[in-house]
Amino acid sequence: MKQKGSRRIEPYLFILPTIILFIFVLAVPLFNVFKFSLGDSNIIEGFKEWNSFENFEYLTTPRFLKSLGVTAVYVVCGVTGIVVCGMLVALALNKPMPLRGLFRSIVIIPWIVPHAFAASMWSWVLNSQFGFINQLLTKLNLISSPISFLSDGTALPTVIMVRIWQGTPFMIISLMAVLQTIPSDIEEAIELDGASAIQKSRYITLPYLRPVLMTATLIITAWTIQIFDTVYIMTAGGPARQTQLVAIEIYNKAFIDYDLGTSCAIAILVFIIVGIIGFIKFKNERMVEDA
Amino acid sequence: MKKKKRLVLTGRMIFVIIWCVFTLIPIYTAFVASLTKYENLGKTFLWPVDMYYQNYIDIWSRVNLTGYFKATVIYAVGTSLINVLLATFAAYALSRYAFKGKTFYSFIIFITQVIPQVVIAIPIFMTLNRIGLYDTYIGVIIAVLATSMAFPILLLRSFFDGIPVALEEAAAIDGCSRVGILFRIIVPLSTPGIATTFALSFFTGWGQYLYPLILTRDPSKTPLTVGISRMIDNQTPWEMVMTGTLLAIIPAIVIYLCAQKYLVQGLTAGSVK
Repeated sequence: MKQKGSRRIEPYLFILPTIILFIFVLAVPLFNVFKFSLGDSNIIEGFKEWNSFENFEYLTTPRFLKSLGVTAVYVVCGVTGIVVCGMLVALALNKPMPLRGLFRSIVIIPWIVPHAFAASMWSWVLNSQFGFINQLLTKLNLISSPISFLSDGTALPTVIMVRIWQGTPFMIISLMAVLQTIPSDIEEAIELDGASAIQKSRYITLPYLRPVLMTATLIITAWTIQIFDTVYIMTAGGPARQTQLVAIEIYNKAFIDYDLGTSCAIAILVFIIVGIIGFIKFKNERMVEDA
Repeated sequence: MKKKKRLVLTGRMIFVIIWCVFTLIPIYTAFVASLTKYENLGKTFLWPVDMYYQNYIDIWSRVNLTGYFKATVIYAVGTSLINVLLATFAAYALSRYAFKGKTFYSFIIFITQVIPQVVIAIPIFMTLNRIGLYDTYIGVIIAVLATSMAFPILLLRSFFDGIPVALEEAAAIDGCSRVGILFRIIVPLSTPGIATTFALSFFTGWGQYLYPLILTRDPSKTPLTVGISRMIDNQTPWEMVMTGTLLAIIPAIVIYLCAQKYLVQGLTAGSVK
């Protein structure tokens, strides 16, 4: 009898530490985000007084909407680039070729480079004075004067490119793992039947890839929405707020404008968007597991 | 037919090589800059003009690199040790028990994966401030743990699921306690999984930027990420930034290259079922 009782409580003891961590470092802060968003708050005093949703008014200003637009472009272009490049690289590496092992090691490297250093290295590569790319283009006589990659009009495409550099390895790893599970006899059979490469990918490769492609795309989208460090280091949101992602808005509102309430109102918006994506992913994984 | 196959292979090769060049450009140019004197940065292109090794000595006095390394190692080791321990317990519960609220717990674990750091960073800062953990190593570590605990749990669970229950039953008959079983049978049998979890959490801790930036103030608790990127401004000493960057990423790259097989396997075992 005693045995049985302890057996019932055992699993809860095993998960207890993670629950405590969850409550104190995620649930309580999240609750506070909601609380602070409802009033006049700052980072020193916390919640001061209720101000009837005034903080949320900022979310409708052109200033914020532009930042939301910038984030949308960053996420859509970044994720599309990651999916397309990841797919191409994974497919290209899937079949034997000389030095395949070496290539496979190389393409995954950006995944272990911390964001801050991806930012510092790319800032140098694209440096408007002596950066590698500018030197290369000048030496090839393609440009007469150096390009400022992080200035007006070019900054957003540049940080998107860096995001693709960072994010693609995760896609490659995920897809390569599934590609390996496609039984080769199916592929051989369809080839013998005279299927074209397009037919082969439409009827064999894509159906196999779809579940993982979905999951990986969703998680990369969720990660891309919350990117802060890379862009903050490269541009700090500039020039003229052209790379002012919502994550940078959240940080600046709290620490530069000392307007914690508005910062939290933005945070709630981001949380809702990421939450929806997360929910779809959770459902999606459930489906895959049940199938 | 044969000719066509060759053509496809060549096309694939060219594409992969272009992608590898794109991947390596920043690291290679960082390497070149790190061996160049500041005055010569404009002259260097594909190879350092002066092979100025002195940068690798100067960087230690130019910034508090020793301190940055120390803080980074503390964050990385702290995160990975605690993460592995917590994940071992949680994954074991998920793998071996049916309990009330298991689905809900899985959902919570899942949630932790998608909560953006930037959303909760500021309230965490205020809470830590109130309980006196602001500007401490442990404050940063627990903050990092909370958003990074999901993956180790899922990863270890998939490893534990692969271990036959019969082994444990035998040990239980011999009078081994649950925790004893966990540490004497399950953990040794999942060494690759544990090692992978450790390494991945280590990378997570190594690369933290936002939390140390917000949750610490004392320069001795500044990690490499924050310290080195802080050098970037209008008069950036690029040769120093690149030297520091390389020194900071080389440990991670070396670990990755050595344990690549396990890491990639482990990553896919956890994320792609």
